Amino acid sequence: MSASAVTEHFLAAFERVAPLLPGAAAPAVLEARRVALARFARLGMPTARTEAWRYSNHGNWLRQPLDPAPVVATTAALPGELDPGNLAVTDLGAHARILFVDGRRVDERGTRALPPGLRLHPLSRLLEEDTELARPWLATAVEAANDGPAALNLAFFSEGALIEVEREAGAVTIEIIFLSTDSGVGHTAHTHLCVEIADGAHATVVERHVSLGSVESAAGADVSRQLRVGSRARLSHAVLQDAHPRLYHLQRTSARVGADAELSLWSLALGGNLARYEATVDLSGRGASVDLAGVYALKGRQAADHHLTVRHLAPDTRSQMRFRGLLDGHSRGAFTGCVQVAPGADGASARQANDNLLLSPHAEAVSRPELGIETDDVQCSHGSTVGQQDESAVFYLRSRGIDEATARSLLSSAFAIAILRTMPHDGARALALAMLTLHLPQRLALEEML
Amino acid sequence: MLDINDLQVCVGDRQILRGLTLTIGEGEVHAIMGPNGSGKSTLAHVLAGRPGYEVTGGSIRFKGEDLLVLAPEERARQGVFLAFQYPVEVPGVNNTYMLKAALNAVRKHRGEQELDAMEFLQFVKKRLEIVQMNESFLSRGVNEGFSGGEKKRNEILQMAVLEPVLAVLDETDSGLDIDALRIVADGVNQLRSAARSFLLVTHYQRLLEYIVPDQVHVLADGRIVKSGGPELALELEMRGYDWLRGQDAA
Ligand SMILES: Nc1ncnc2c1ncn2[C@@H]1O[C@H](COP(=O)(O)OP(=O)(O)O)[C@@H](O)[C@H]1O
Ligand SMILES: [Mg+2]
Repeated sequence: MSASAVTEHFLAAFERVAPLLPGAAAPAVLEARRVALARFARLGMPTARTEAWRYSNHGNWLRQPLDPAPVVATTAALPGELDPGNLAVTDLGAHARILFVDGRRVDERGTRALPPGLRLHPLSRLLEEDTELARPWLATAVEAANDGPAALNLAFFSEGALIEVEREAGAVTIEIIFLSTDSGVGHTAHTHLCVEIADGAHATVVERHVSLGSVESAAGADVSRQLRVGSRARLSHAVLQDAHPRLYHLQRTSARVGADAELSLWSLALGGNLARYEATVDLSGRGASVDLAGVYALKGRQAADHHLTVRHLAPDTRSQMRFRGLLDGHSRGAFTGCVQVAPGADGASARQANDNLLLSPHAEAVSRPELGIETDDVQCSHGSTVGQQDESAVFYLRSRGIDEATARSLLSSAFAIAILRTMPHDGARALALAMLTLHLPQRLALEEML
Repeated sequence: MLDINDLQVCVGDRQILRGLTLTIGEGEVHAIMGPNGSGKSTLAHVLAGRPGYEVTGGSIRFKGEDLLVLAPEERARQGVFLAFQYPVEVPGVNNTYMLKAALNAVRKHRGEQELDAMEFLQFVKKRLEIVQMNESFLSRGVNEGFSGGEKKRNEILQMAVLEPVLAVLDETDSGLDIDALRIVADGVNQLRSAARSFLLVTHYQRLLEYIVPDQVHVLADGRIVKSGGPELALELEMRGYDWLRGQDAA
C-alpha cells in the first residue's frame, strides 16, 4: 500500500469501529480519539526513511500494517484450554493479576481481594462509566502521541487498565499477562495502560507477553503505557516477552518521575517477529532517577528495536541504560539511547552501555547513542560493543569436559545474566531466567549461575 | 599411558614442533624444560586439542588409543587435563557452576551417577583444602579478578576435582611466590598416584625441588634434544640451554 492508502485505510476503519469502542457515548473520550486520529492523518505511518523507525520496518510491515482488532465484548470468556494456573511457571506472589487475551480482558475466577490502597480499573469500564477519571490520562496521551503508531493506539485501543497505588498499599506486585492466540491473527490488538504511583508508594509491575499454541499467521500487539511516579515513590516495571514468531510487538512507554523517586524499566525481548520497545522518561523532580535495563536474545529473522529517551529536566537527576543483545541467525538488534539534559538540570548524571554478542556471521547489531546536553554541570558516559564469543573461553570450558554446545550456551547465558541478575524483584528475576532458559538451545540451570 | 611419536605441528604456516617423541608410563612424572618459544605450550595445547594447531605428522596415543581424533571435551572425559599457562577468565560463570558441569560431564562419561548440588559441595570442599582455597572462591566468576597465584591454584583445584589420568601442567609455577609454589607443589604431590601421570612444563628448576620427576626432557627448536633424570634440571639451571641447541636427542 502507498502511504496515503495506508492513512485512508485507517481513517475508514475508524469510522467503522468508533461507535463500538468503549466510551463511544462519552463526548470527551470520542473527542480524544478524534484528535488522535487527526494526528495520525497528519503524521501518517512512519516509513523506512523515518529515522526513529529505520530498524523497525521489519518485513515491510509499515507498508502493510494490520487492521485494528475488531471490537467485541470487552470481557471475553476464558478459552477452554487456557488455565491461568499453567502460566504460572513462576509464582510472582502478585497481589493482583490482570489477563488480556488478544487484547481483550479476561476475568479470572477466584481473584484475591486487593490490599487497601491498590486500585485496578479496567479501562473499558472507566471510559464508559468514569470519564472524569480517564480524562487527564487521555489528555496526556494525546499530547504524547508524536508518531503515527502512537496516535493509532489512542484512536483504537479498546482495553487496558488504570492502576493506582497509594502508599498505604505497601510494596505491591501487579502481574499483567498479555496472551496472543490464534484468534488474534490478521489484526493488531491495541491496549493502553496507566499507572500512578502516589508519593512515597512502592510497586512492581511485571508484564508477561506470551503466546498460546502455535500461531501460523501475522498478528500485532500494540501497547501504550503512561507511568507516573510520585515524589519519593518507587516503581519497578518489567516487560518479559516471549511471543510467537509471527507477532509484530510494539510498545511505547512514557514516564514521569518525581522528586527523589526511582523508576526501573526492564525489557526482556525473546520472541516476536519484530519487538519494538520505546520509552521516554522525564526526570522531572529534583533527585529523580531511572534505570533502564534489558536483554534481547534473537534468532532466525527476528528483529528487536529498543528506542530509549531520557530527559533530565531537574537538578541532580540520574539515568542509567544497560542493554545487552545476543544475536543469532539472521537477527538484528538495534539500540538507540538518547539522553537530553535541559538547561538548569545541574548535577545530572547519565550512563549508557549497550553490548552485543554476535553468535552468527549473519546477525547484525546496531547501537546508537545520542546526547543532547544543554548544561555544563553533568556527567555522561556511554559505551557500546559488538563482539563474538571468546574462543579461548570456549576451549577452556571444553578442556574441562563440557561439550561445545553447552560451553557456548553457558557463555551466552552468562553474558545476559550479568544484566538480569540485577533485576530488583526476586519473582520477576526468576521468571526472566526461566524464560531465557527455555529460549536457549541448551536447557541450562541458569538459576545456579547467580 | 602416553606415546607421542615424531609429532609435527604447525600454527598457520609456521612449523613449531618438528618431530617430537616422548613416552610417559603410568604413574610417572615427567618434566619438560626449554627456552621461551621452544614449543612447550604448543605441545600442551595439542594434547588438550586446542583448535588452530594443525598436526601435520606423527601420532599421539593415549591409553593405546589415537588421541588426535578426539574433541577436546572427549579428551577431558577420558582423563586428559591441562592446567593452562594463562588460565582464561570466564565472566559471569561461577566456579561452582563450571566445576560441577565439568565433573558431571566426566562422571557421566565414566558411567557414574551425577552429583547434585549438595553432594557436589561436600565433594569440592575436600578438594579446596588441597589447594588451601576458601569457599568464597566457589561463588566467584571463573578466574574473574583472580590474582595470578589464585588462577594457578584454581587450575590445581580443577585438576583435583576432575581426577585426571594424565595431567599436563603448563608453567603452573611461573609467577608464584614461594608460599604459593609450595601450595601448588603440595597439591600435585597429594594427587600423585600409581594411576596418574604428570607432564610438568616448567621454565625453572625450582618447581622440581618440590615435585621430584622421574624424567626431565629438554625441548628446543620443536623437538626433545636431551632427556635425563632429575639431575639434568640442575645442570640446565647452571649451564642454560645454549649448549644443547642443534643437538639431537641424546
Ligand atoms: N596461536 C599461535 N599463533 C601464532 N604463533 C604461535 C601460536 N602459539 C604459539 N606460537 C608460536 O610458536 C612458538 C612456540 O610457542 P609456545 O609453544 O608458546 O612456546 P613456549 O611455551 O615453549 O614458550 C612461538 O614462537 C610462538 O610465538
Ligand atoms: Mg608456554
